[in-house]
Amino acid sequence: MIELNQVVKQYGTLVVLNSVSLSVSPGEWVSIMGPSGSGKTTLLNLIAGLDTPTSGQIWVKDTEVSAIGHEARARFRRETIGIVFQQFHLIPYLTAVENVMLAQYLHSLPDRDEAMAALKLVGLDERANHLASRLSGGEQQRVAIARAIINDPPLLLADEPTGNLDAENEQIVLDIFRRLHDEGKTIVIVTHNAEVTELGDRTIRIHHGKTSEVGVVTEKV
Amino acid sequence: MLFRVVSASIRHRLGLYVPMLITIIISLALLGAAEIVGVSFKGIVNREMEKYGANVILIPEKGEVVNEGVPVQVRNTRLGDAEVNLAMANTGALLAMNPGWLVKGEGDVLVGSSVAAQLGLTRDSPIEIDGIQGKVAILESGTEFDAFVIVNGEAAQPSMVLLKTADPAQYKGKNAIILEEITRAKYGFLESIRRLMLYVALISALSAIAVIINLARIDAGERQKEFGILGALGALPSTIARFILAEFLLLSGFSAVLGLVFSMALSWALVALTAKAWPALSFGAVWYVFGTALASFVLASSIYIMEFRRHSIVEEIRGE
Repeated sequence: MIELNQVVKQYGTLVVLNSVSLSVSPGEWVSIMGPSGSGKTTLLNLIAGLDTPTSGQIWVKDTEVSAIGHEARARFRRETIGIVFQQFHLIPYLTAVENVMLAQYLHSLPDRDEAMAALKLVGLDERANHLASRLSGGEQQRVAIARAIINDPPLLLADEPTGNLDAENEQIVLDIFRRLHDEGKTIVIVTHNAEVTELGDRTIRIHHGKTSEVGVVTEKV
Repeated sequence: MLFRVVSASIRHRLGLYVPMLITIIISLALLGAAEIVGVSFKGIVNREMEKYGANVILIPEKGEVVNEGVPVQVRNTRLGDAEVNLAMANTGALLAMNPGWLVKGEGDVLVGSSVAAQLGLTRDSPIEIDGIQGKVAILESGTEFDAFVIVNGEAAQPSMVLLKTADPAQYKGKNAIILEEITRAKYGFLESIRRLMLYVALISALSAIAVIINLARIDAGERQKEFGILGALGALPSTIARFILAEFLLLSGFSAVLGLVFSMALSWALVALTAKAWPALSFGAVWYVFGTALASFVLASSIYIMEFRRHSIVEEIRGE
C-alpha cells in the first residue's frame, strides 16, 4: 500500500527526515512513534501528499506521490486517503453533518443520508446538526473520523488522533479505529501513546529523522 | 453545498464583514445617487425647457429687427376693473414653439390660467380687450405667460422675441435671457450636492479598500487554516478559489442591491423634496453601482486568493 524509498525532507539546512525507507502492506495498522520534532508528522504529511520530499520516492497504492503535481496530489488525497488530525480541523461554522458532506462535495456529490450513516458509525448521529464549534473535543474527533472515511478511502492517516482527548473519548476513538482496521482499512497512526501502538500490527520508531525498529511487531492486546 | 458553506462562512464572519459592507454600501449609495441626481438634474432642466418651448428670450434693442423666433409685444391694459398684461403675438407660432403648453377651449384669445382664475373667466366665454373681441381659451403653460392675456396679431414693436435655438450659448452677453442658465442656476444646488456626494463616495471607496485589505490581514490565520483543511480534504486550488469567489460575489451582490436601493431613496429625497420632480430611472446608476460592487468583489477576492496561494497546505493548516 505504501512504499517509501530513501526519502529525505529538508527545510533549509535542517534535515527533518534522513533517508527514510519503509513499506506498509494493505490492511496493515502501523503506528509511528517518536519524540516531538522527530519528523513523525512530516512523514505523515509526505505520505498524504500534503508536502513533497526533498529527494526519494513515495508510492501510495499505484501513485508515485513524490512525482506528481499539486493538483494530482489533491486528486490523490480525495480518492485514496482519509486524514485525521490531532487538532480535528473541522470547519467550525458548519454542523457535524455538513463537515462530513463537505468531504463528499469535494470528492463527488454530497449525500446527507450517507453522511448521517458515517456519523452513526462513530456514534454521533444525534449531534449531527450541532455546529462543530459546539462539540466537545472527543465529538469533534469522531466527526473528523466520519469525514475521513465518508469517501471510503483504502488508507487512513491519523496524526495523534487521541492527543487532545480524555481517557473516555480516547477509548471511543480507538474503538472506531479498531473497527475500521477490522473492516480492512490500512491505517497509519502517528502517536505518543503506547496504548495506541498496542492495537497496531507494527510500530516504527523515528528519531532525529531516521526510522528504526522498522518491522518490530508488537503483540496485539 | 457551495452556497451552504459560503453563507455559513459569511454568517460566521459577519462581525468582520459589517465595516466592509457599510463602507461599500455608502460608497455605492452615494455613487448611484450622484448619477441619478445628475440625470434627474438634466431632466429637470429639460422639463423647464419643454415648458417654455423657447430656450432664449431675446429683448431687442430699440429699433433692432429680429428676423427669427416669435416676436411678442407686451403692454399693460385694463380688463374690466383689473389691470392685466396684454401680449400680442402670432399665437399659432407661439403654441407651435411651446408644445408643452396646454390650451383649453376653442377661443382665439389665450387667457393665462392665473388671470382667468383671478377674473373668473371661463373657456369659450366672450371677451373684449383693448377693442379686440374674441372668445376665451384658457392657457396653462406653467410659465410666466399664465399671467398674460395673449391675442393673435403681429407685434409691430416687439418687447421680446421667443427663440428656440440649438445653440443658446451664442446669445450669451447679448440682451437675452437664456432659460437653461436660469434653470441651471435655480437648481444648481443639486449639482453641488451631486459633486459632494461623488467626493464622499470616493473617500468611502478608499476606506472600503483599506477595510478590505485590513480584513484580509485580520482574518488571514483562520482563513488559511480553512483553506488548508479544504486542501487536505483534496480540494483543488480552483475549488478553493471558487469558494472565495462565491463568498465575495454574494457579498458584493448584496452590497450592490442595497447600495442601489439606498441610492434611489437618497436621490428621491433630494430631487422630489427640493425640485418637486421624480428622480430619473438611470441605467447609468445601475451600471455604476454594480460595476463598482464588481470591482470591490474582484479586489477582495484577489487579495484572499493571493494570500491563499502564498502558502503550502501544511503551513495553512497550522495557520502560519
